[in-house]
Amino acid sequence: MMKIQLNGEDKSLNSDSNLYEAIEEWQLLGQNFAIAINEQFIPKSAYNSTRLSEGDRVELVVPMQGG
Amino acid sequence: MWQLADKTISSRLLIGSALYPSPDVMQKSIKASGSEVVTVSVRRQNVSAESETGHDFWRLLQELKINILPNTAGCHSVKEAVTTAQMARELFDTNWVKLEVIGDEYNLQPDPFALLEATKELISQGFEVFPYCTDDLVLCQKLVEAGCRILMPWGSPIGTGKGLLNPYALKNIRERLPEITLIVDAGIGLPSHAAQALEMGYDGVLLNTAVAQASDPVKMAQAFKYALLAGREGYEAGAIQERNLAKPSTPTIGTPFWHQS
Repeated sequence: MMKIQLNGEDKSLNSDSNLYEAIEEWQLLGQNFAIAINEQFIPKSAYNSTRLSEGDRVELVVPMQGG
Repeated sequence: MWQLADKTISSRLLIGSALYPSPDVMQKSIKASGSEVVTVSVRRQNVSAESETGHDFWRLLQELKINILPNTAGCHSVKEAVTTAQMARELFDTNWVKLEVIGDEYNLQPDPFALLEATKELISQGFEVFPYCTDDLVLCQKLVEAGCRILMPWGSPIGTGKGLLNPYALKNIRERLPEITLIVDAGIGLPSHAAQALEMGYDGVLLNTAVAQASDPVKMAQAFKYALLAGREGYEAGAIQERNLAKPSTPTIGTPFWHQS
């Protein structure tokens, strides 16, 4: 197992999980969101090929009101 | 009709989607304003609370069928702003971005140096950058050199409702950058402030708080719609020159009792 941060909260994941598997684990498949890891944007097309590592900071954002 | 980047639209009001008393009032206000461009943001999904807030909001907005202008509100560095813009592009399926890079937490003043750097990077990545900037002419010129065809100088700090604090600077930008689409962003409090910006030849205004926090947001949205129409027509009609001496508007020839007393 490894620890990562999702939106500032600690989460445990199987070691060597890719981003797609993590999203599946978090039950977020099919929702409208965008992701950055360690402040680097990860396009949807790269979820399968993006490996997560211990200590990664994942930001998962959704549409929100704004001015 | 007028041209905003690659879109031809009729309303000159760009409106925010935040701070309304309810989602229903937001939707009604945006409709009443006649605006065809609404600003939105991205925020962390509250994963553990199973919150659907963001998605409900997005559904409401999609029903309005208007153009989406995502912002990078809350970003304080080039890196944060660029990454936020990239996430917003995917999320909202648009290359438009209202670029905000805040330099001062107290008055939410844009950081001109970071703004210019982030603008260059985003334009190189194919974004249509709407930079939220100060009313500094040289900064505006540099942003244009970087490839911006739209600039959004502030009227006054965000949410203050103080209107156009430096009309001289804003007029100067209009005169010196005649080909650029200019939108006053931030600080608008009254419909008359919006009319003033358009009378100066500004192409539009972007506002949020003035409508969302009004006692009757829907009515205020409509008031802004009329103010923008009046301001633009006033600009197109060509205003008179201001003068110091009074000049009677009623003809003096034939005035009864002329020079009798």
